[in-house]
Amino acid sequence: MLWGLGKVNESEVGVGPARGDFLAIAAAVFTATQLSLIDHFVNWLGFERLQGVWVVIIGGGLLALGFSRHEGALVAWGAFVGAAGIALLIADYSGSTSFVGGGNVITLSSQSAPVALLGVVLTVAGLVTYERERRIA
Amino acid sequence: MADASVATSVIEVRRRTRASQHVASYPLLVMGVLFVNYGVVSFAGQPVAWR
Repeated sequence: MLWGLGKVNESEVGVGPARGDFLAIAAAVFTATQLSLIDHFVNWLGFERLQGVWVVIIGGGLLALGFSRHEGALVAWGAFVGAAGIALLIADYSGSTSFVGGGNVITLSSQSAPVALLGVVLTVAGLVTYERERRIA
Repeated sequence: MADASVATSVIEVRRRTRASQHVASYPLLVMGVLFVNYGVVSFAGQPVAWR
């Protein structure tokens, strides 16, 4: 997705950064996430803690992207996400089950409020950063 | 003196170029909406359903 956004940006502006690191980091995140699904690992860790591992992996991806782009803000946010993942890992948050119904009702289950909250924080930070970048550029 | 001003302008150009490419904001926005999606819809699902 990020690679695609970079491509669109390059088409509009006429110049863009190398996007290979996006693909390399995405490959690393994909591989790490898949490896975390190995049964032995899941059974040993438990599913709730596994969610924390996924968040840590994403934090690592952001951290790697920040380093590759020499962007201090991204490094800081990557560290923040990683720390949030470690907190989830330790807290063993079990989430909540909701909206389980019949008929045409879509079943939503195992929501994770901390992960959604983390997403809101990142989205707001992204919007603020976007506005700042727009003013600079 | 001239070298210093050239160096300063290079840093400024790099800062503006990165800003125009939204180097920091796009990753934050993409990961933010994905986290919201996973957190609200069903984080219990497989993180990547390519099976």
